[in-house]
Parts: sequence; C-alpha cells; structure tokens
Amino acid sequence: MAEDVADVVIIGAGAAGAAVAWSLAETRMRIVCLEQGGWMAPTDYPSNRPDWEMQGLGPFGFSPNTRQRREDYPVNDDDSPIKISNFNAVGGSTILYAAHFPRLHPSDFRVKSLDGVADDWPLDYAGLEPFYDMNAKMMGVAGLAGDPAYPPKEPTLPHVPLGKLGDTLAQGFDRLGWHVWPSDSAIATAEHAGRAPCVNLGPCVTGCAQGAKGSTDVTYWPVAVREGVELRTHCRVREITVGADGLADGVVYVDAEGNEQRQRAEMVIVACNGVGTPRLLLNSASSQFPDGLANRSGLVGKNLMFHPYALVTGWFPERLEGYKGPAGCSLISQEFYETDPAREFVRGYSFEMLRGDGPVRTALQGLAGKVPWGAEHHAAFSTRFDKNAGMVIICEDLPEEHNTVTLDPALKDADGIPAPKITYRLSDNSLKMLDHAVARGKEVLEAAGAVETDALSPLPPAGWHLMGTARMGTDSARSVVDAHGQSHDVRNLFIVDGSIFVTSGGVNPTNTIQALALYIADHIKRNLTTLFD
Amino acid sequence: MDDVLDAILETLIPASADGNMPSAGSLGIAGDVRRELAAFAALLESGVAAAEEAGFDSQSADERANCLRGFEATQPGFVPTVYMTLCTLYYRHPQVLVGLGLPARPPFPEGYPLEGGDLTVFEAVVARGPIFRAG
Repeated sequence: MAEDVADVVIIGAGAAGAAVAWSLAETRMRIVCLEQGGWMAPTDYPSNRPDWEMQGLGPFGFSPNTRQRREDYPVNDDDSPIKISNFNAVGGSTILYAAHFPRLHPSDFRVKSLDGVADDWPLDYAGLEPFYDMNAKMMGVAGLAGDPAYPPKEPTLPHVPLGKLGDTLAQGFDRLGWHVWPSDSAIATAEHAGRAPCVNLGPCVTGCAQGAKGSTDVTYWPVAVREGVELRTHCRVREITVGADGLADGVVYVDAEGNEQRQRAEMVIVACNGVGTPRLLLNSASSQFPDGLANRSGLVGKNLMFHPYALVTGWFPERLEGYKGPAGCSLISQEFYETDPAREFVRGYSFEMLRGDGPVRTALQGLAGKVPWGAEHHAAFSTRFDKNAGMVIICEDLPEEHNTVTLDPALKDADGIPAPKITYRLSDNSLKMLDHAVARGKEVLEAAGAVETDALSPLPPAGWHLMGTARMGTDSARSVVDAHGQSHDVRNLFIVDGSIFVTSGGVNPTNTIQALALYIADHIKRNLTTLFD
Repeated sequence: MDDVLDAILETLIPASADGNMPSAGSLGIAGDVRRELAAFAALLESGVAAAEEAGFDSQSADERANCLRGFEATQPGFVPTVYMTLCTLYYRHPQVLVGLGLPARPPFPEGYPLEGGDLTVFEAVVARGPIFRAG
C-alpha cells in the first residue's frame, strides 16, 4: 500500500496555524494539521464556576509548568527573569490571551533605518496591511476608527465598552494631553460570523465561555475544517524529517494513544511560536543538519524577544465597576511608542489599561499587610475592592543573540521529547524604558484621581509574547527564513509564527503573527508551481 | 472541632460593623476550609487543638484575637495559611457577594451590562494629529 502523503502538514493549531490552514484550504490541497492539545469545551472555562478567580491561578494559569496538563510541555525558564506563558490546544495561546489586538506601526518594520538599532524587516507595513484587514474580518476586531497613532484602519465591530473605569482613566490621559484610544480587541462586541456578542464576563484570560473572544478555535478553525483541512488533535510532533534531496519529507509524531506515527508531506509549515518552533527545529537535527533543521545560519533559537512588562496599579476613592468587561481590553496609549532622542532609550512602549480585580484576588493581593485579618478586615477591604485600575506597560524588546531557546539536557515532556530551556537577560535599554514607563504610568493614574499607586517591574509571569528565534531576512547568513517565511536551507519548509519576527514592536503580537501567516499563505498560493525552485 | 474552627474563622473575618458583611464563622464553611487544607491537615488540626486548649470558645473577641496573634510564635504558619484559604472561600460565598453589591453568581452566562463610555475625550487626541512615524 502506498504511503500516505499529504500536500501540506501544518504543525500547531494556534493563532498562526489556524490562519494559514484557512487560507490554504481554498487550494483544495490535502492539508493535515497536527496539534498536541485538544478542543476546549467552553463549559469548562472558569467563568462558569463560583471559584472562577482561583481557577485562573491553577488549571487555567498561564504557565505550562504550573498547569502541568499532558498537552503542555515543560519549559526550563529558571535562567530568565521573565517566565514563559502559553497554552496548548486547538486555538493555542489565543485560548488564554486577552485579545488585545493592535497592529505594529509602520516604523516597526524600519528599526535599523530609522533608529540605527537591530534590523529592518524584509517587508513593510503597506505590504502587510491587506492581511491585517483580512485578519480583522476573520477574528472580528472591535475598535474605534480614527486613531492618530496609526494609518487609517477600519475596525469590523464597535469598540469594547469603556465603562466607568475606562472613562476615569481616559480623563487622566486627557488632563496630561497624552494619546489614548479605545483598544483594538479581537472581541465580538456584536454578533459576528456565528459568534455570540460579548456580555462583559471579565475573565477573558481564562477562556471565553460566551465564545465572543476571537480565539482561533471559534474563528478560523470551524471554517478551515469545513473547507476540508484535517485537524488531528493530541498529536505531538517529535521531529521534521528530511529526505536525501535535502527537502523536508514529513514528520514523526506521537498520537493520542502514545504511539509513534509518521506523516509524509510535500510541504511542512511550522506554527509553534517563538519557543515551540526552535525547540522542534533543534529536535530535528540530522546528519544533514547537525545543528538543527534549517539552522545553517546558527540563528535558530537565538534573538529571543519577549516584551518586558511592568504592571502599574492605582487605587481610587470611588468604585469603578472594574470587575465588568474584558479584563485586558479597554484603552491603549501610545504616547511614548515612537523613539524620542531626548530619552535615555531607543524605541518605546504602549500602556494598555486593565480592569479591576474580583473580590478573591483583592483579598489575596492584600494579604501582605493591606487587608489584615480581624476587626480591621472589612474597612481595609472596602478601600481596595473595586477601587483599583491600572495598566500593563509593554516595552519593545530588541533582539540580542545571547537571549536563547535551547534544548534542556535533562528536562523532557510526557512523550520523552527534550524540552526547551530559556536563557534571557533584560537589556539596559529595556530597564531604562521600564523605569521611564513606570514613572509615567504612576503620573497618569494620579492625574486620573488615584490616591495610591504601586508598580511591579519587570513583571515576571509575562512571557506571553515569544518572538525572534527563527527570524526573517534576505541574507541567509543572518536569518532563518526569507521574506515569505520560507527556510533558506530547506525550500519546502515554512515558518509562520512569532519566531520569524525581526523586531518585537511594543504591542501584542498576535495580530501581526496572523497577518504574516496570511501573507505567507498568499505567497504560497500565488507561487505553487515554482515554490521550491 | 468545627465549632472551634468556626470561632477561629469568625475572628479572622468578623461581621462588618454595618452588618452588610457576614462573619466567616456564620457561613458554614469550616468543612470547606478543612477540605481545601487537606494537604496541611496536621498544621490545621494542631492550631485548632491549641485554640481549644486555650479556651477559645469562652473567650471574648479581643481575647480570641490576642490568642491568634500568640500563635505566630507557637503555631507558625497556622494563621496565614488559614486566612489565605478563608479569603478564597469567603469571597465567593453568595451572602458575601450580595454584601459587596455583586450578583450572587459566577460571571457566565448573564455577564454584566457596561456603558460604552464618553468618547468626547478622544476629540482632543484627534485634534493633536498623527503621532506615528512613516515607515
């Protein structure tokens, strides 16, 4: 019997894998996607339960090391001040993301030319813009047109409601004359493509029980599967294999029953993001690629970028109804996004406003003396509950080769596959940027009326954005893939996730990851007959 | 023993002065505390026994508070462990949620109504003009 050969194997069913699968489905090629997690059930999400706040600290927490689901793989991040956050399921980390959905700025693609640091991307904002627009329709992006921080763009849906908390914070920015704008959010604020509208549950970051948040299990995947893409869940890819001709010829994976399987393919597309992708490429070392697949540049796993985050919180005299509404999406400020030579750092950052805490988190966060037990408990609690609002600060992280993903010599996942090890240092530029941002964050919260402020900088559990470890470029000695995500070394191998970012910008990367995946898929479709020449 | 534990819980989170918030000891959650602290059963039972031995159930509120403060030396870890666990149980109890002015239910499916917001504040942002650099 002839061996089963797919036209395309996609590894990973998260943000990027879903987008590329959907886009390629129209070719009617035989497409198989292998995902190490399964489909999530909205009824299992914490907002269904009275203990919803605690669930976010345990089984629906951000760290794979604390969740320890079989679908997760462990990550040794002991040698990094920023800890890895991800999720493994159909939908990937979009299951737990906040759905804050900004684009990169035009200047983010020209960092070297404009600011003399890092490298320019091999494409520009204009080239990616049609795919941002396409992604907005598929993911259902809510927002408000007219943001002067960007070239014109049209949101698909009305902006996320600001509520009293948003109004209060916006006034602080207004008093200082700083930029602020309703966030672009991948949240269906009205019925969209079969998704029910957002009802302001609050804890988007533990999964959306309403199905309003644009996680790809409810956006791209239902359409892609309907169009014929075969999505195999609980299948963990161990390695990509290469034939004598130097082309990828398929993958070896462990199926749901723990059996090793082989899937041959004419084309392999990797969509495992900034940690999973280099891990897989390094685990795919062979006699032809002794340092890891597609790694003749030596850059696979190097230039790891997070976004150094800080958390700035203010407490206000009045209740703000902060438990209502999408936790991570209301307002964004890019007042300090672009480089200003007067500052002690290059590049910049965004402020993204957060809603307030629920009662359990308020109490727990007050344990360190702020909300004591005993007769003073209620008085102290009432000064804090529903009176906090704040922001996260997302700093641009510049690429540095000493920040790496390598293979841990001892740690393995449940299938015995070597796990990734993170080595990362915050740069002097990032530290100066964080200091500047925290000071400005406190300033704007006080302008908004906060009577007390506090900050945590850097924020340790903030390794949500994983970028740069298989970077794009035109020079095969200085990059892993070309301007279309195609490996310089293995011509039928494509990478479509955050690992191909050249620089990080200072915004959440998911929108750009997906726009890139659509852009690369478009290139594949247009050049099918000559793709591997 | 649950009577003593209830008295401890009441000391940690008493009723509020205005009566809107119930005491933790009145909510019948001592069993939940025991369940949540199953991995720390020895610590819990040691503290409860020490309170009973100290005559906790016949003490005034101030005396009970002083007794628990004394546990910092004699029962290390007992009060912070029980207090933290209690907070996670107390603040999801329906009576407590109502006392806080919240609906006594999880967020889903009803959710919450939320105002769209005052968009006039953004007029000044637009008036200041574009702030992005061309690529």
